[in-house]
Amino acid sequence: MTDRLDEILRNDAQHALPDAGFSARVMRALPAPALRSRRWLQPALILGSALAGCLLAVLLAPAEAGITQGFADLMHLKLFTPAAIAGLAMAAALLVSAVVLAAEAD
Amino acid sequence: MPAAPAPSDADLILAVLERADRGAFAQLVVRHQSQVRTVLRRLTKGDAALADDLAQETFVLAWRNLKAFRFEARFSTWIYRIAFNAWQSEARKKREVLMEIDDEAPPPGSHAFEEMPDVAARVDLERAMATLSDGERAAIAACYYGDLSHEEAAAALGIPLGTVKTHILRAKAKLKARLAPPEKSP
Repeated sequence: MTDRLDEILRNDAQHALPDAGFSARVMRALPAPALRSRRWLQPALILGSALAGCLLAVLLAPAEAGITQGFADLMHLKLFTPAAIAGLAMAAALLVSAVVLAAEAD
Repeated sequence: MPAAPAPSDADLILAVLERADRGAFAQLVVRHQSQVRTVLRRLTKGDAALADDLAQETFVLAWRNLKAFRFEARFSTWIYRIAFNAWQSEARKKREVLMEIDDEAPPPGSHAFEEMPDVAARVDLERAMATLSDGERAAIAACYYGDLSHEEAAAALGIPLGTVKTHILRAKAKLKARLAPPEKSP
């Protein structure tokens, strides 16, 4: 038996829905072209800003607040020395950048 | 001079991937919108507005994730998978989507289908589809409306091949019963 139900289902499936503006609506909902073609820009800006901030912190920090000294202070649980605060700030800046980039990747 | 043949789906996808060609993607949308929207209308039990919203979401996701498309599969198979996922996500917001096999027996009267007159083709297929379980409706939508093979449907729905076949058999039995004319009284 040729399945009558098959025929009904296939006829129903072949019924073409008129576009009625649907495709235009989809195209309007797509992300802006500039964002798509330069996807590297946003991560580069975020990471660049974080690294520039870290570099400035290293350059402008007092001599006794060097980054190596800061991490040494942190290892000895001296959290509030200028060097330790500079180290924590750098780590926080890089952490925030990583979180932002991870959120964007989703 | 003969007109140039229409570009294939693969050509259009390459144009999108290489040049972010929105015109090429628009052609893909125009080409596939009817089937995607029809599949989603059947899945959403005829809710045209919701189906169109999900279809829009499907195409936007396809644009964003096109670089993940593997050219071994048909574009339609790939986009139906996105559409099914969109429908399942939407349905889960309201209730659990049950893709398991429904043990409910088909309603009596399925034997009468073979005698179904032509006029019965006008019956409300949409309403009959709405009586199926989620899994049965998804399997019918994939295989008949999405024109996927059972294997492709299993991959698109993320369920075993045997479950797809069972869903199809049970759904057809239920639809036959629903679409059959009422039995004549003696």
